[in-house]
Amino acid sequence: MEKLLIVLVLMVGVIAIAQMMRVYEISAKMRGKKEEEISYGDNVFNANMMLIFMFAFYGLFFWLLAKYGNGGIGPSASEHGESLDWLLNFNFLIIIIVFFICNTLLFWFAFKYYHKGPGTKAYWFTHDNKLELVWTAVPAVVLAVIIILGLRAWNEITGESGKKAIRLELYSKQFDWTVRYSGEDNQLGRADFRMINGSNPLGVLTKQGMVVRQNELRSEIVGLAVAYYKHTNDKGFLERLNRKILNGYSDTLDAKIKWVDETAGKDVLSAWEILSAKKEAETFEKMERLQRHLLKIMAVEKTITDKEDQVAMDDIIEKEIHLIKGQEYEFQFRSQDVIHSAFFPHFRAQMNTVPGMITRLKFIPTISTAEMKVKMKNEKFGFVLLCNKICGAAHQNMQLPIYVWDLKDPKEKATYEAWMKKVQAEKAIRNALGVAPPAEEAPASVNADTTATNAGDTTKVNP
Amino acid sequence: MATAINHVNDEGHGHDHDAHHHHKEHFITKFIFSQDHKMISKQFLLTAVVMGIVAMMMSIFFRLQLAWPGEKFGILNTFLGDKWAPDGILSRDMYLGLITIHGTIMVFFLLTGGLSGTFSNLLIPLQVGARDMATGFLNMFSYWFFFLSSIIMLYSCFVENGPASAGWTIYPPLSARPEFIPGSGDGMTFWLISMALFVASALLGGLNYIVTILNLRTTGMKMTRMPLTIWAFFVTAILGVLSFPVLFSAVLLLIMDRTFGTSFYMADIWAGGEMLEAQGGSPILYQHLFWFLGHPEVYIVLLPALGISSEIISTNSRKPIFGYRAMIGSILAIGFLSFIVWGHHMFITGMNPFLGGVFVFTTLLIAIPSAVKVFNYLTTLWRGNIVYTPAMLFSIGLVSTFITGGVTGIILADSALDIPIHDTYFVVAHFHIVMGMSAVFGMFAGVYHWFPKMFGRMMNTRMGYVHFWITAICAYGIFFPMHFFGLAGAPRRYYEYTAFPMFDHVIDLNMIITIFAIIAACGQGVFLFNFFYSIFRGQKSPMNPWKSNTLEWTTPVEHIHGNWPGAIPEVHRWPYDYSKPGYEEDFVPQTVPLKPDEHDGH
Repeated sequence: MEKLLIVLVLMVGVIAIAQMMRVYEISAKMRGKKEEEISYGDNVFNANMMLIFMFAFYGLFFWLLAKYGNGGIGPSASEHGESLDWLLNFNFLIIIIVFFICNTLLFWFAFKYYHKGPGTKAYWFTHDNKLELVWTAVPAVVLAVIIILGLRAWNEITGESGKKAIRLELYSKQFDWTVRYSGEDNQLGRADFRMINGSNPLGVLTKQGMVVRQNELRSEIVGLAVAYYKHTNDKGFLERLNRKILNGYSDTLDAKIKWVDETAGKDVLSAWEILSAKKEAETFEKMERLQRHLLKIMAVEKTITDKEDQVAMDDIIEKEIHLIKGQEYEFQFRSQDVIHSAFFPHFRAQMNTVPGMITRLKFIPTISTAEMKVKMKNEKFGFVLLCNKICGAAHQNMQLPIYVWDLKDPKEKATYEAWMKKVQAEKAIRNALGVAPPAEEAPASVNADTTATNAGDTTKVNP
Repeated sequence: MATAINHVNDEGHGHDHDAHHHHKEHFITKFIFSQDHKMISKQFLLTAVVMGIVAMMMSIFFRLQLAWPGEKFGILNTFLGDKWAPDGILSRDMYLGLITIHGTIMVFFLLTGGLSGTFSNLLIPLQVGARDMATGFLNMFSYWFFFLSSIIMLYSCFVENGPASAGWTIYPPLSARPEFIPGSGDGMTFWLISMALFVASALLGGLNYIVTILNLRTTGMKMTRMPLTIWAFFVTAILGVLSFPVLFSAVLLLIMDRTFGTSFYMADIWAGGEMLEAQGGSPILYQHLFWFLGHPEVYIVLLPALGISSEIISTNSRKPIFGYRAMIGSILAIGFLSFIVWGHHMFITGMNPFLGGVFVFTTLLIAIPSAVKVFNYLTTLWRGNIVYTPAMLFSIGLVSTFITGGVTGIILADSALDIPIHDTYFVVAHFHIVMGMSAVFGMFAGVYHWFPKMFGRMMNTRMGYVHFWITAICAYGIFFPMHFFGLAGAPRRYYEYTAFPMFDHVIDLNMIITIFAIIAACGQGVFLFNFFYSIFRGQKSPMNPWKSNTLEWTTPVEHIHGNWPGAIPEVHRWPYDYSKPGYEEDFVPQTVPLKPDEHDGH
């Protein structure tokens, strides 16, 4: 009813305007006014409006500048960000000058040179090479300055990080971030997306994790094969399974198939399970696909060196970013699903995270969280990492807090170190895999090897 | 029947006069499957107007959400239904769907199909002195592909899981699998089909424009005597022909990734809890392909608007366009450079930084021809004799938005400065002003200026003034504050900003922007009313209402096939002999022979 009323009111409005138009037209006709003839009054009106508009526009500009000019984002909290802010302001100065000159000329001419009546003629001026040369050359020179300064900053920002840079990884997926610290060796272990499971959310490649993951896949393949068999009651497809890669799970599969057959002998209904045609195709397809993944991952296994295994084992997986003031950091980024963008607004840094590829970024935090709170006059202030590439419905929820600690402050130093100790104890990959840290003197590779095989054996016994 | 009534009502000159010349024409061949460039132009315009209204309403819907997140708006529920706006609160998925379709329609359907399609079709044969396009048949197909593509794009909004919602650039992998976002299901399929058809339309149209301009110019119409509109359409068509096929291949590869399990754009991905097998592809490849079209596309949108405004500013300043050859040169330079700058959209994608540096250089080079154009506009106005038709107002508005939006491009083109403002509202402000507003102003200018040529009637001038001032004030009111929102670090494409303490300082801007947007949308009602009212009831147009020099004003007001009843007129001079010394009148049409001792214009 309400909507109907609105529609009615709108229709009446349109009709009313149409009638007013009729009246206007008739009166225009009576006065002999034609649409194509712009009256002196109309020209004056629009010319004046041009000037008023210009002042209103500039008014808006200055009002916005005064009220929102500092944006509330605060000073740059990174080293390169400071020079970037300077460069940004420098460029803004140039473009604001150009903005004012050009717009003022435009609106001034529009105000001044309106048609003043019959008999007036415009000035015949078709071209002037000298003038044109000037306004080609001047922008070219200004742009050269802008380009040189810009590229210098760009090369610095994207250049290699220093030797002392601490490496860490930011891993993105819909809709959260995970941080991987490189641990004491300051090296990030390799990763493979096929390694990802509950205990290894970033797919870090370790020998032991590899065994766990392979067995997980084998077990999944067996499950799918059994489900498929229960549906088809046809052993033919089992020939197509790659028994070699199933290892001990091959026996498990046979045992389970046998169990199905036996149950079928006793109680037909509980043995067989009908799948929909779609589900049937999916099950078979997935079984084949997981075998291919398993093959690939087994090939990867051979490439993990002992050194790499060691490097990966002490990586720490965490949900908060803790940085040290004045320390250079090199971030590497990966993504599990779609493109995200790691946006550090306060540090003037940003880089996309792209599935299938590693991207990098470096910066040096220069202001600690505590200092920033003072600068921003906001007790609740905290640095934050945002996602800045559309990545799905909950795009804007993808945030991660960042803490910057000043180690010169003993209190902060203690907090930071306590935190570090705590996460090292809890969040290192070896802890997730249930492996004791390598003994001080013993060669780490042997240690890791034996634990890996042991763990593999246990899983095999209890699938 | 309609023809008969019109004929009786009109004093002497029938509105549909060609009925006399072509008796066998009936409704279908005349209005629907027309091969006449003037009718096709009107078809493009009307389709674009409808698409434009849809896209504008979408923008109001998501602006409501941005200004007052979580508030209930009955109007959202009325238009979007319980699924997408339960209780009048916009759903997150539909928010992304709306911004995606808004962008797609505005860029492709309004500003490419609508602007270039309408005015290239109308003006190329009329201004170069041709009876019609080189091939009217393909031209008809160009429109029908466009129409079909529009219908499919609109239809895609009504599929079960919603329209494409990965942003108008539809970057894979987000656009590749429905697990990532529901809109990447059927909605995306239709989006891709629609765009493939759109490319076909753009190519058919573009080839036609190029061939017509090169081959069908009348006697005396040297390339250096062509109006700047034609030069702009010419370069635009070349850009389209060279770049749209690349979009087509980008779309095709994406279709293959989605449907046939290839992995051009995908590698090492988990989707919906499953490891995909895609390996070795690169999402960056898509971005290269997309922006290889995407950047020239900016100029495909902008150049026609600049051409139109050159023509209108010269005509209504009653003064030759300043630096005609420099204007042509800058159109050509912009056209060429537009092909080697696409990487500036990808500074932070992980593209090699050295490559980024090269793109900084090429991108900033574009500022030079752009600056030349602006200064030439300014000098044209200087000591002019400006007649404020609504078209002139919009053209001046265009120059202002071109300046205001152009200068911020200098910031964004600088890769180092782009890092902290990439994908923030600063970018949204920049391209809406320089591309959106300039092109829309150019389109409005064109409609007001050539409405008499299209429909044989005049639009109401006073309503045109109201329309312009509302639009100009609100356009800046909407997009200018966005710069400040972006500089505060606010990313684009967020559903709400209120949950972020860091944006508290600038959050009010969202309300200001939305209020201006609503007023602007209402202001377009004035235009729509004026437009449709004038088609049917407007004052009859004289043959040359704006006292213009170009050839289209030598054709009769009533449309006829072949444009000129007799022989095609010959051209003797450039099109900008306004206020030329030695002539009584302040304009000398191109058809007037040069006096014995007279030099051709420039």
